[in-house]
Amino acid sequence: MAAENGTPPGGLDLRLDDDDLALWDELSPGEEHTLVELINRVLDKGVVIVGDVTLSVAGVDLVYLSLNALLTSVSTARRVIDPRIPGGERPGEG
Amino acid sequence: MLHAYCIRRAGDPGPPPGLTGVGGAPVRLLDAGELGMWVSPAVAGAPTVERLREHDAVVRAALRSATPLPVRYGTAFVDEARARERLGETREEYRAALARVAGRVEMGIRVAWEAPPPPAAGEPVEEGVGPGRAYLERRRRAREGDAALRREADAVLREVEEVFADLDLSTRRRVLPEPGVAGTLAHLVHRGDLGRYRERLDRARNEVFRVSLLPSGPWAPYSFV
Repeated sequence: MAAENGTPPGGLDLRLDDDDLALWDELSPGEEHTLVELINRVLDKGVVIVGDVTLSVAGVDLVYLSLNALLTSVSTARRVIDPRIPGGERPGEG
Repeated sequence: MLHAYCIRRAGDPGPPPGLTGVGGAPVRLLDAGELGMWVSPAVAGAPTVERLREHDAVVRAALRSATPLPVRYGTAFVDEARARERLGETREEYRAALARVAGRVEMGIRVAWEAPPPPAAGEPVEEGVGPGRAYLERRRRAREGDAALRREADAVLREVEEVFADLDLSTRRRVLPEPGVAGTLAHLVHRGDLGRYRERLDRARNEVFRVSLLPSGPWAPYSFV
């Protein structure tokens, strides 16, 4: 098993090749879902370094408008993937 | 101005020649002693979806050779000297974080579901009760409904998590982030375990009912830094 500090056996940082990265394209339900995952990560996660300049408020507003449109698309995409899941509002959520 | 993508250990491979990032700007390695950072000349403009993709594409290129610390989109430095200074201020934390994530990648699972209806939603309030009492009673039922929904979501997420329990991985979870979603899971997985992780994902699909699993990844460890 891997050593406690997370290094794989042998101490080598195994490279991710195209096959590894492509592996998940066939499992991903589709473009829109992955896009929402990407935006959530790149904008809302990761290391925050105190830089000299950060995102302007106007810039963030623009992106959140896009995000709302995308969330609607994800609901639509889910209905296509699994017809058991209805679209629209559900009581008690949010 | 320099736009920052990710933090590396000194000695990790640099960006492949010709790699471009946000706004098509060329990516290079900024070396800062024991650490490095991939940067490109900042290009003016709003953070469009295309630019977010370009940013992650650079982080993904780094991920291929060694797990980086991804930097949140939107950080820019006036020049290299300032960038090195900032990195230097927090270098111990970054070194510790790099050690924690070394050799691993992040996998995401969005657990979509058809939420159960709230209990007793349709029962009328007892006859003869005044409007104030009736209002309070409805509020009480709504709170109980919310708590019940959260318990259901938590139970469903635990069923999914259980399928991965014997793998050596770390988990971050969010319950009820949005309508139609019981929760999201982020897993920090050893690269060598990706095959077994995929098998577990298939098993979870077959064994956990009432949910659709929407996977994504591999990502750099955005959720674990």
